[in-house]
Amino acid sequence: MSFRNLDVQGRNVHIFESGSGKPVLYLHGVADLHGAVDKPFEFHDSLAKKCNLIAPAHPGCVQSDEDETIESIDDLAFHTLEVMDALGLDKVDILGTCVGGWLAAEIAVRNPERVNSLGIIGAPGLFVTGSPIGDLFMAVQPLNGGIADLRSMLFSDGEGALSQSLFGDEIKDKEQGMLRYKIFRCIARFGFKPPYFYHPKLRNRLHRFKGRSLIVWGSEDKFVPTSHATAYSEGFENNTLALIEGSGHAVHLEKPKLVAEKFSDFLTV
Amino acid sequence: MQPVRMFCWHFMAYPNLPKNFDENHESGWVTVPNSLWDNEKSRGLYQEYIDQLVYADQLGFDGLVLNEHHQNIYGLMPSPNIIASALTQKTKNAKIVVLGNLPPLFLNPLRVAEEYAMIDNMSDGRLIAGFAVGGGPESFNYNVPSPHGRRRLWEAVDLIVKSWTDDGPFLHEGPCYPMRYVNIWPKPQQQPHPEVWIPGSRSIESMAEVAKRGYCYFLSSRSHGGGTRMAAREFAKVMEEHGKVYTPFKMGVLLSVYVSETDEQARAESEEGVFYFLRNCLKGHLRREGRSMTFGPGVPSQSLKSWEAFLNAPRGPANLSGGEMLGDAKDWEDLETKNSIMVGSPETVRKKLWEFVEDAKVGNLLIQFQFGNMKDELARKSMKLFAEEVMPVMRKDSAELFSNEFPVLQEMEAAE
Repeated sequence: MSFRNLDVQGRNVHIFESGSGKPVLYLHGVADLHGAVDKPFEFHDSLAKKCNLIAPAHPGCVQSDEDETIESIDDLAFHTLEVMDALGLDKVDILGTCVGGWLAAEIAVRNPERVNSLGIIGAPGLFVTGSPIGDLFMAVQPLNGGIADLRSMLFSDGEGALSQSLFGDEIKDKEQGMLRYKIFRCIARFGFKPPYFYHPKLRNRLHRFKGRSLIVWGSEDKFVPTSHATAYSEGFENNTLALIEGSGHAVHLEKPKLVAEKFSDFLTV
Repeated sequence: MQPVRMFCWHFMAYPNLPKNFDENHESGWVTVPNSLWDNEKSRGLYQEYIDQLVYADQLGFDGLVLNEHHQNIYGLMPSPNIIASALTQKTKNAKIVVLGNLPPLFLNPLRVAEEYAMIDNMSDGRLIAGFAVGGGPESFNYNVPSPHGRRRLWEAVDLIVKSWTDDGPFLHEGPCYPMRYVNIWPKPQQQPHPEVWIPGSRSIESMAEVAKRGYCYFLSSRSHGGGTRMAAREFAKVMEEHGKVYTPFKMGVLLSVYVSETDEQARAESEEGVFYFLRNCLKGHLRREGRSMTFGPGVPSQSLKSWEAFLNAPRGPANLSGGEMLGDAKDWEDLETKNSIMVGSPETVRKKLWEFVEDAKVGNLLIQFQFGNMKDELARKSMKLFAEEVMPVMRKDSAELFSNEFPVLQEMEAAE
């Protein structure tokens, strides 16, 4: 297990790497490694027993340089393709959670030849009529000094130990305060403006990816409703959809063993 | 000898909220339901507010200040340029300060350049042109991602000023606003261009951008104490570093004042309006209770460096909504202690204001006289007493103070 810095076209990219074997590119989300905290969770540790997990932090997160030029998901996709180039990953399995799942889907439809198998968890990115993506930015604006709305949007139990440890009402230390600010500033660059956390054309492009995909979703996801899981499943040609009952958006943190198992099986097939 | 300049700032608050607004609503901004707009009670409201500003011109204020807010009860001026335009026709002498338009919210900065140029001509050269990035609420209002805000603001400001000073048509190649033909008609009346003011809340990055262009820095934070003096010193230092000369007129500050015959009367007359303003208008902005949209991550445009400084700064009891703010004042005594709002007899206000000017040495005082649901006659009385009994002494004493402390002012006058 290691953290390192990688030069990508003159920009610094912070990378977490763990495990050996087949490389899997992991694109992170908000309640996640490189998002809320700078350490792997049980989910990542379990996965790293089966593969070589490589997780770059998005621009502006942890120690990755901010990139003023990122104004849309397209820009983030090109940035990530450059990260793949720098890592020497010509064709790789990609697993993305939350906004990382959206990013993974964008890369898969643009450059299907670069993606082996695709895993996405609770990913925004699509427009689904009558089923809007939750307002994460409003939820993180403190209500009477607390962010219970954010916790209940990201977790099935907003007041449980997991959600409290990642997004408590107190900022424990400066490092946590900075990480939190960084991840929201990062996703605001491509997720805030309308369209809100989606690309209106992505849904009709999903068919371009012909590889295998596994779509995992918490049945109680209040950030990206499960109708979006269905929409991804309808769009990708060769996919499996797994709804995890009783779980929220951060399903990989809430049910780490179960979700890691699903992906381990999927990735090694 | 230049005295301190005193401006009358009007926010144009919505005054007709139900009594239990604070109990039932989390914010006066963005999500405050517009079903609360009372059509009948609100007839003539703009006229009342515009007339108060016209009165300020007649009373001899140096200028009238307007600003831009959207979808809120704090300030009913989504387009301050419309009010400014009305003022051009009804006022004679006062500067018209629009502080400011929010270029990151507009699609095209040339529209701002054009409207400001129109206002400058319509007012016979009385415009002071303000530009701001917008805060958290404004990001939500127009769905503008704030991390891009500063980059857009400065490209827009530079393009606008260039469109006023350089002959067109010319080509502008910028990352945010590439423009094939920049060639505005009319040009502003003031040459080379109207004074430019930029609000900021003490971030060094903003100060540096303002300083290197030689514009006026307006401190937008509403809590004072020693903060203004510190900010003035910081800004003076930044100006020097950029080879510019600081004078008190390179900086402005927002103050809130109510004057009546006696201290007791001043409190009795202003208390309702002041608390309407603190509890309702500041809820969602400068108050920790309710939904605070000013300090949440992802939405404010503070850079990572400024956020780090915020986390490092020692402050009073703080929660995720930040340290104590003006809207958190517990009661009247608390307000008095913090000295954020100056209320009292002409003598009391003169004393407080003088202490402030003497300490901070800031040359542009932008003063709010109307609070929340304050009645027209009270706002007018306060403005009149201020103009007649506070302003003259302030002008006299400050001119002396500034000329003693800033000899460069005399050199500049002589040069002119």
